[in-house]
Amino acid sequence: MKHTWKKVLANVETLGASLQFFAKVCLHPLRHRFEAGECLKQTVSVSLRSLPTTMVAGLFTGAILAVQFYIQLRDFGAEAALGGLNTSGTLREVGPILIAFMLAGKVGAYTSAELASMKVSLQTDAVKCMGIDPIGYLVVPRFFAVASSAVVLLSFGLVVSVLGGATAAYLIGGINLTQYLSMLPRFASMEPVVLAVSKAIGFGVLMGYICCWNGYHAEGGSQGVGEAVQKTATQSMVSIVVMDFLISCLVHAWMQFTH
Amino acid sequence: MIRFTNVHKSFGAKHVLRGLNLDIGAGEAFFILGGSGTGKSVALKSLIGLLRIDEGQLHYNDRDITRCSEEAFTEIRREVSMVFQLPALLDSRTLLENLNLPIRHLASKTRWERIRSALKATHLDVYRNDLHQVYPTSLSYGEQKRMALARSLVTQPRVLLYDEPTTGMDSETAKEIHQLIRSVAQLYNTTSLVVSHDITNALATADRLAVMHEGREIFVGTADELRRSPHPIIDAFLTSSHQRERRTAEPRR
Repeated sequence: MKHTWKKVLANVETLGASLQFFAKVCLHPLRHRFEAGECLKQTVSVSLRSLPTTMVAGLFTGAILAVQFYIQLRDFGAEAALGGLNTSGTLREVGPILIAFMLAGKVGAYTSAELASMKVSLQTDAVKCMGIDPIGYLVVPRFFAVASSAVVLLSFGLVVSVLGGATAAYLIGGINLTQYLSMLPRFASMEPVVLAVSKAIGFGVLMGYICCWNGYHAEGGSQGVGEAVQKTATQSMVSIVVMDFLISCLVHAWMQFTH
Repeated sequence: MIRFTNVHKSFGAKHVLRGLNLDIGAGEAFFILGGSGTGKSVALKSLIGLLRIDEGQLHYNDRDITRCSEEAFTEIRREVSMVFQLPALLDSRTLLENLNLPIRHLASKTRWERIRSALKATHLDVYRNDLHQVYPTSLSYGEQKRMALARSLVTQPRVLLYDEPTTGMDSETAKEIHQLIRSVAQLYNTTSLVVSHDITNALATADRLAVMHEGREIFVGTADELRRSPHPIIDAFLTSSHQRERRTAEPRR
């Protein structure tokens, strides 16, 4: 019992420290020099590296959903609703979460491994010894790069997923683009778009925070790097699911309130 | 110039520094010797603010830096530079970006002058024209260590801290690095504080040495005084170090 209590306390302590770290990273540009060039360089690098993955993931996410919906709707002769239903479903749920998982595995793990190997090979200490704050120089640009590029990539991936759905609908059911988009306003109103954008922002910030925290606090050689990457992948995916639920509830409540 | 007064430092239950006292003069090449886990690296890291001591006092240039803020240490780090056990070059950056990093606030012309001078001092002139396209990983380990030293030199530090600069090197390269420590100290007029296991080269290079055992100094003096020391621990340390070095130097049969 005492051991469990100690473990719980240690976890609460870690959570507190990580939130403090998050606040420090977010507020750093306001208090200190913002490494704009470094941030831009990282953002371009992360975005370009992940663009093909996002495109493929987005395209097939929309396509898979379109195939599944088409099979179900055909039984009721409601194929006309495919475009609206598929776009709404992709934007609301499947698109953001699948693409976010993909990005967590690629961008999050990469950034975490990069920071962790810098930490264990003393590069972080070396930067500190040059009179440069490693949080400002190494962490902040990566955090903003991961967060902003995740938002851009997720949004881009969602657009591609809608196109993927339309393509699949044409190939399987012979539904052309005009037919596909005709039912869109009935199903896909403002809510799915707000949900998709909110999730893209939320997941992006979450990924940036988790990968930077784990990478920057890695210890103990190559094993430490491996642990940081593993923690980043696991924590990102679990947190994305939890955040997905929270954002869905919040946006739904907000929509109810405004109507 | 640098003074450790009764310095203590613990990591949990492990008491690493147990009352370390050292006084290092300006321009000295001062070596700290001792077995693994005696707190040599901890002493260096405390001096540059990477670790904070629990008890005692640290002085740099007659200024008490024991409880200095992080901002104050940032200022100190412009004068005190450290060369790590690993090269610690940013491997995602080119050599030029690495060398520019600590002096990026300076004018371009000054930066180039300092970089050229540091490359010359560390015998890395050969990379002078390729700095912008070569990454640290394409250099040999010894070259990476020298490049790390060059990166420290561009700031024209008053004090250079070396944390086991010859770890993982063959005896010839280790000798070269020690000669470099000496020549750089003369060229840049710096104080060198070196933590080392390499007893032979340390005896040849140091102005003065300290031997640490269980977190405190048990000897401070010149190389000759060290050789004559009757202290049993020093005698055992010198004997085991010499035997180890002889074994490393002997070709395998």
